[in-house]
Amino acid sequence: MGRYVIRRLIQAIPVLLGTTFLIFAIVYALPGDPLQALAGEKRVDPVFAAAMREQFHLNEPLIVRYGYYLRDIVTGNFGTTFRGLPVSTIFEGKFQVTFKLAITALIFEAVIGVGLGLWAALRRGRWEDKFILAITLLMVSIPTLVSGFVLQLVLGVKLKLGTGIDFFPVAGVQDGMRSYLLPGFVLAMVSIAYLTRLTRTSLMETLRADYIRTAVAKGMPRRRVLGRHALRNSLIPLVTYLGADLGTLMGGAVITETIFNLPGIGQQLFQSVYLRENPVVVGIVTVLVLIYIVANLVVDLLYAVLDPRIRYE
Amino acid sequence: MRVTKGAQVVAGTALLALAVAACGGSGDTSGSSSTAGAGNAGAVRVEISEPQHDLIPGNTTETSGAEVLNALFVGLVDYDADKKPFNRVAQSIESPDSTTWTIKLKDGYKWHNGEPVVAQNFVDSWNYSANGANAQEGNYFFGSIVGYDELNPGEGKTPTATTLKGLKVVDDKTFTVQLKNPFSGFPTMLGYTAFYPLPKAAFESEGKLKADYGSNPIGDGPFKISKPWKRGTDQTISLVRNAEFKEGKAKIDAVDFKIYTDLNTAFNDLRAGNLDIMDQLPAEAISTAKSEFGDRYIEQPSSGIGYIGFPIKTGAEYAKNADVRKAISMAIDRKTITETVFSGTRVPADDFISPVVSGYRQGACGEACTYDPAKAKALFDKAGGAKMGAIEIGYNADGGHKEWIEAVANNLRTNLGAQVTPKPVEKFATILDDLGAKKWPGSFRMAWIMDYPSPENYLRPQFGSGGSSNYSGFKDKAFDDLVTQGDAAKTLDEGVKFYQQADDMVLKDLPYIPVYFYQTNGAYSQHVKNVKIDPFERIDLFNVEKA
Repeated sequence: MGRYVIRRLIQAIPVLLGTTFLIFAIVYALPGDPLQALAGEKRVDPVFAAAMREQFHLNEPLIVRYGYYLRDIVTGNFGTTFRGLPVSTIFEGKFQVTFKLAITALIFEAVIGVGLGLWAALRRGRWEDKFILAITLLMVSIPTLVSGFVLQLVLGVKLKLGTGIDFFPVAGVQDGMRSYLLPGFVLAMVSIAYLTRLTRTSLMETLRADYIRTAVAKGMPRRRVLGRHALRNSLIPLVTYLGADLGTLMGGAVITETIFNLPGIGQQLFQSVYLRENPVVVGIVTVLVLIYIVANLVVDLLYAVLDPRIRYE
Repeated sequence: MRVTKGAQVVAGTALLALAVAACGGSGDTSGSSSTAGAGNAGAVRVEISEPQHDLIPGNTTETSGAEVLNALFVGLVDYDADKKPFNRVAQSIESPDSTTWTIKLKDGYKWHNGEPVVAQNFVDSWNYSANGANAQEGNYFFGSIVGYDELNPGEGKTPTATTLKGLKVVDDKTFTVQLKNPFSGFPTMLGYTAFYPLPKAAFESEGKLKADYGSNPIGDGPFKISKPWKRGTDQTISLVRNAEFKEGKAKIDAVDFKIYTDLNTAFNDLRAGNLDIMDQLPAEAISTAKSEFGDRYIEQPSSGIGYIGFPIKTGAEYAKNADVRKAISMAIDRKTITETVFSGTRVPADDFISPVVSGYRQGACGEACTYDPAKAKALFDKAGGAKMGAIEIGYNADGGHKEWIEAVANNLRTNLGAQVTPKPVEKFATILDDLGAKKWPGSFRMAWIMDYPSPENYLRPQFGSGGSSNYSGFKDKAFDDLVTQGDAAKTLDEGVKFYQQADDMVLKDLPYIPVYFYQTNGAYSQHVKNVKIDPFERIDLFNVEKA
């Protein structure tokens, strides 16, 4: 097991190099001059631009610049932005916000998604099943941008103005964990729907398996059959989905964080792309790739826990 | 064994949940100190975007940073309801020849650390900003002062001086400014952020700012910073009232500037009562904001003008022909475009000088800016416009210009029967570069926002020979002379007459077609009253009151 983990981590190195180089090449290949973006619609001062080009090695070929970047990364230095702020300062506190948001979303997903899926599978073909189908279809088809603003308006603005209940903050993180409930739910909505469908299908398949029939036939209580035999065996695809989704949630928080003004990594990524702050974009993507790699590793390790037949040597 | 393993998964999830809860718990405390910044209780909350630089006057040319600095600092002059400068820290700003200016300061203005504001503070600040080596955004404001060229020798050269030759301190309350050329409008420049003074305490050594000054600035204004602002991390900039302020105490105890990335979000916060003042609204909200906020809705002109420009010397045939340009101008339905495409956030333009500047004349553009499809078509045909090829309109695709450019194109197609090709490019700078290299044949969108409220600022940089933003190639000795005469005039009002004559020349030739004036649209909550916004789009927080 230990050797397996080490091997996986070593394998992650080329993945990391490849992805960072790719994103590095892409952001610098974007048309237009990132230094021009500093000046907005005015023309950038040539003296200033020359000094900046020197400082950020913008006159060197791409591969050389990437080399400089790698050298800095290895020493734990993410560089500075074109506006003179260390990238690590920008990261400060931001991953924490995004992580909290992603975990909140993940909990919503796991609880509501698996719950609804379970219910639908057990009530297969009845009105409950159809009702859940309708709800999940609705959730999948509403884009986050719409659901975010609608829920913000209804629960954040109208509810407060109408009834005086000030439970869901419109924006910001000043209300602690409460600030994450609404954005977390909005972020999770699409995934909840997928997870519900996935749980339903997976569970129904398992329920038809021979060993379930055996268990029922030998008189095992229904709760035990469902919990111990059926659910656990249908968990593997769900865990895979949830694990992969953690990465997606962290990266996909762009819209949610912007709508709810959460100072997280998604909002930063959006702004940095817009402002052409390439060092920040590359830095964020590097960290996101790392999170993805670790999340996938954890998922693979969880397989062994869920299914003893899977062994990692 | 299998039982325990099953239990492990459950225990695992429980742990995860606990970890999250713990995370949330600690987040509350760390959140309020760093990321969230709960701010001051009972403060007036104002929406801004994140300032692009630390809070240093000379390095701030965007509106969000200027908004904050305007509360922290007070400058030599400010602007009254007629957009004319009146003295604040200055006692008098006088010059016999509009070239050498003597500026006297009033007694009693103090820095937040208790030191008096002296002439040296202004000179230090201006020297710092004017020095090319410091790469300050507001550097170009000092270009008209003697000695600027030594501080900004151009690419690859190092400055040969560290101070402006043209600035001289006479005594604690007096200093003189020597301009390169006469400029009667000089006092109008002095209310802008870049001209604020800096205290002794801001400098580590001569000509070098302390590293933390920009996060914890000491100002001379009605508010002072209540805790250092960490750019990139803190979402709130908190200020408290400066009880020692010479002009009296501000009527509110504290101000929190809340940083938003999305205007719609901020607007929802305003509706929910979590925010007090917004000086810009999301375009989608304008139509409902009027009825929703009633007399708490603000609508006033801002300094921006949107144009369609032409390279009149080096461009295509239609760009070179003044009659065709006039026909195009008359074929644009400005009223419909501003009302529908911009939902009323812009108003039709009728002058090259903005309504926020003293010197603006309503309807100065006359017939040329009046929508008249029939006359436009007649003029267009007479000039042979149809045979001059498709009219290209270049615009940058990243700035929300597609809709109005398409609307203009449709106007021209329908009203003139012309072939029109809107031409999007990635960045506005691409058009500017091509125009600079004389490689852009067609028309292009253009906009101008003032640096200081003088008609001169709308004319010389854009239409003067060698003007810093002269992209049309307009060149006329008589025009240059008129602007220079305006500069050399004894008073602002005398100068305006000359500027207006120069303005008439451009209006006749139409190197650019004025299409719309930008507007400031704002709104405020029931918690505040007496909210005023100045031509630089800064809120006069000194006079805001709690309602």
